[in-house]
Amino acid sequence: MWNFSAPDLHYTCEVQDDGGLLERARKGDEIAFSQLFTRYKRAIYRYASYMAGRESADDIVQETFLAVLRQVERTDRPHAGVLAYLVGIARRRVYRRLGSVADAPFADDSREDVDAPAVQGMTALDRLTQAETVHQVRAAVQSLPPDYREAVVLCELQEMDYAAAAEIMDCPIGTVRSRLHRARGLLATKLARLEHGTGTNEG
Amino acid sequence: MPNDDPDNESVTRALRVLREAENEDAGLGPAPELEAHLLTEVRGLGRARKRRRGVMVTVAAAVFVAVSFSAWRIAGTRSGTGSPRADGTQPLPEMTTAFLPLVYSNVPMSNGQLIRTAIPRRALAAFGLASGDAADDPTAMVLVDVVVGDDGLARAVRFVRLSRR
Repeated sequence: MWNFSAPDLHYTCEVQDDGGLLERARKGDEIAFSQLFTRYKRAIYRYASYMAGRESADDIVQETFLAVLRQVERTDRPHAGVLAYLVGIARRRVYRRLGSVADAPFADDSREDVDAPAVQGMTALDRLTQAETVHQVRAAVQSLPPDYREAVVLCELQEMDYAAAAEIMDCPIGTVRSRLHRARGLLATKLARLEHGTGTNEG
Repeated sequence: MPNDDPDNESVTRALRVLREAENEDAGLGPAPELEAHLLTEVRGLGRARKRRRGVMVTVAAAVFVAVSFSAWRIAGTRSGTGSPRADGTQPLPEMTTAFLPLVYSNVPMSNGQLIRTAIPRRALAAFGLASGDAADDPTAMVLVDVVVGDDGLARAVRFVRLSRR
């Protein structure tokens, strides 16, 4: 715990668990809200950009955190964890959008080709190859049907366990497993075609 | 990481590369100005909640004052003590007997009123009470409080005596 004192302000900051942060954020605590946002903005953004496209991701992140603010009366702590709770809120926004914009979520964004992180020990060629791989795998994930894509994003990219993913996807754990299995099968096919130079955009 | 497809190593490897690249990509995230915008919303909502709380406290205080004032006025009217009359004189303190049941006291009632009135002093005898020295005066009156049900039947009565200062 750190104590900061100043003539006109006194803050007591403490490392707080996610549930406590959520509780305080719902009540309009600015510091707690900021911490919650910092912890989860990337995960929500990643989910939103895979599911609804980059152009909608900012809006979905904003709507998700605004929804938290509007839950001032709620005091319960999400049993599947705060990340699952936030992704659940984001998911409702995503599907509302998908309902109106069919299944066209993904603007192909090549920004990663330029911004690919530099890893120590990699040559320029390695980095270029890795950036290309990242781009191709992302495109392959993005081309999956929404249910399969969601399973991949939650279980593979966000590394959630099946129970949390099932909670978010509102389906049994077995369904999550089967969607993930099929998604991986489709990805294998797509990646194999890539290796043989037959393109990424079909299927 | 869940992986129920161990045979397909290339998929596992490809997803791991993607995951790690995205985890290390500092640029992956919402627009930087989004947090500032949200914090402005937090402050706005906080101010609105404080205003709502202030209005509710004011309304509650007003209701409390109104109810207290009404109760004080009613108590003053009924007891006849404590509050000065319109002419500025203090009302006389009073003594009352216990309520005496009347013929219809057993009839249930859901609501009623306490009515103060004056009856001839000689009527005290009907209740088995001594009429006192003024019994000889046929015009002497005594004050009574009568409990009257909402059906109009009198249930009980008590006698009121104003003390002389």
